Amino acid sequence: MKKGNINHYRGVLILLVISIISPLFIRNHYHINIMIFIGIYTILALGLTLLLGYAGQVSLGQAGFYGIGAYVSGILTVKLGLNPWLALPMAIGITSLVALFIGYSTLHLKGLYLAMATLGVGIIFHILFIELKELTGGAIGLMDIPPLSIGGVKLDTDLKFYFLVWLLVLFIFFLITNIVNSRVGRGMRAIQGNEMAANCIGVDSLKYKIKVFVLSAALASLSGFLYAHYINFLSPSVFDFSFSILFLMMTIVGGRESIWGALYGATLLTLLPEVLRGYEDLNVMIYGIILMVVLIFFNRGIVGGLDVLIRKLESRFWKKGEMSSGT
Amino acid sequence: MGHNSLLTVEDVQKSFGGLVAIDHVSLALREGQIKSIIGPNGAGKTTLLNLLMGIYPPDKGKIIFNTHRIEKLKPHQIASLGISRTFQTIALFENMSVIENVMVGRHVRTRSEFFSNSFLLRRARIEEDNIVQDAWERLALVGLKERGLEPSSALTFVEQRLLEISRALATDPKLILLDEPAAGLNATEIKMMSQLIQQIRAEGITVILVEHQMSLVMDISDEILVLNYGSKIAEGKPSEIQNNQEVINAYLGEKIEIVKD
Repeated sequence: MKKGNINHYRGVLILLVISIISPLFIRNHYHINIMIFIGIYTILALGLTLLLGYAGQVSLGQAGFYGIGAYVSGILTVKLGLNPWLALPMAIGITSLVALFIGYSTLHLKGLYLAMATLGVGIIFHILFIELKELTGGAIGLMDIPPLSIGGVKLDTDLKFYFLVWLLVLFIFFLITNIVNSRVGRGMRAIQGNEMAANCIGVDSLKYKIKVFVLSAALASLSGFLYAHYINFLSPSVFDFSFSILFLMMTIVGGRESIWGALYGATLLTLLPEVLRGYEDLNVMIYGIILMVVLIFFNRGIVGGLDVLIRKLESRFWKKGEMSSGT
Repeated sequence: MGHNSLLTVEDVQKSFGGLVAIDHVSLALREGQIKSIIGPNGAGKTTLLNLLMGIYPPDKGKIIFNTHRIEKLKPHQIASLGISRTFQTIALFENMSVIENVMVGRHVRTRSEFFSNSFLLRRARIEEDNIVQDAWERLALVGLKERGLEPSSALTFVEQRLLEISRALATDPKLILLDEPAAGLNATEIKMMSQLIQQIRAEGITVILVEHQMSLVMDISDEILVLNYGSKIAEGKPSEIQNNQEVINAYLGEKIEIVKD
């Protein structure tokens, strides 16, 4: 039960090895590019998984926060020539303040009010990205966003950017693993288990809902920052409502009960459209069918599906062992 | 300190729609007492506990706990002042293990938040070690140490009751509200529960007990308060309550049982 228990970090260690080894086998730029997107979306989905799975709240406005992160950093670096690493805290700070304001005014309401409010906020920001032409470039887009560099090394290749993104993914998984296994994580799970009982033994559920909501917005903002400085160009269409739905799908399909659901969901929903690209008109239908099948058979998402599978395998081996020891 | 008033309820009223659930009820509780609240079903006993815990505010009246006015506070604030409770229908965190349930009980006495926990800062690690240690000690007090790592839903009914009490005690309360802790228990288990409640009192924790098991109530209470249709109809020592005509009337068919005890 002690902190620093190596079991907590097993997933992070496995992911570390996979993310270091993968580029040795994947030399294709197109594939590295897909993996960068999986990383960016995983960071975003992680925040949403915490919000949905641990605080029990739904947000339909994550694309808005993603966009704020991207545009604030894009505008500050393009228009004011700021160093991206200075723009990053400002982007995250502004996004968090927006989320704090929304969360504070809506989270004490029960049910789907937060979903409705975030839906509205997401749409408002999408419109702002289009209409504030002076700042955002409007529908034409914001061009020439500078690439990132670390210690004088420009991250100008996909491979270099790949390592930055996945290092961040790992670091964030490490931090969130710590949160989930702490007093704070237990408090949040208690709220999920029985909110009234949690309140009566001293867990302030409103405070945690707001904090997790702000955290999810901050992670979306970080994803937006990475996107902006990877693609070097922003267009409002990437931050519209349909992306909020996509991000929510990632957390649900991946499974909300474990933070690893975010990785599975982001991976599946990023890979699927790429794999199905060859099927022309059928691809949307196949995409839909696969999602339905996943959710019908694994109603707890991929995490839940894997859980059942592992247990089945274990019980089969356990039975075998029992029989052989019996004879 | 033993005779100080720990809790004072002054002329509290609560209605739900047109129904008056609590009607001008006052009570005073001294430190170290076991005070039982009895009354027929629907008399307002659980409503009174909910008012004390801040689940909802009273329409009128004052509640003073340990010099603090608490009638407008939220449950988590009241918990931090030192009131804790159990529930009539068991309300464990079934998504957590037995020991984790008790560890959540330490939440209100600890402070580390997102930042210090995510970066494993020293103070967060020390605090976590203390939470773990405290929780195991508390769990041992109700005899559930061996079952600590199991999911809380794997416990038997009695064990779940005990875990709920252990979780409530983990918040270091000055006052614990027990809502029908003996409901559904057999005679041996009730005896054990009786001993546990007296042990809680012996540790200096004041107890409010809502209970239908009259033998238990008469056995261990210092004072009994009787509610009927939301009003206080009697208050006093067990012997006084047993012979109170109004109480006997309120209980109708159950009067024989009361008198026999």
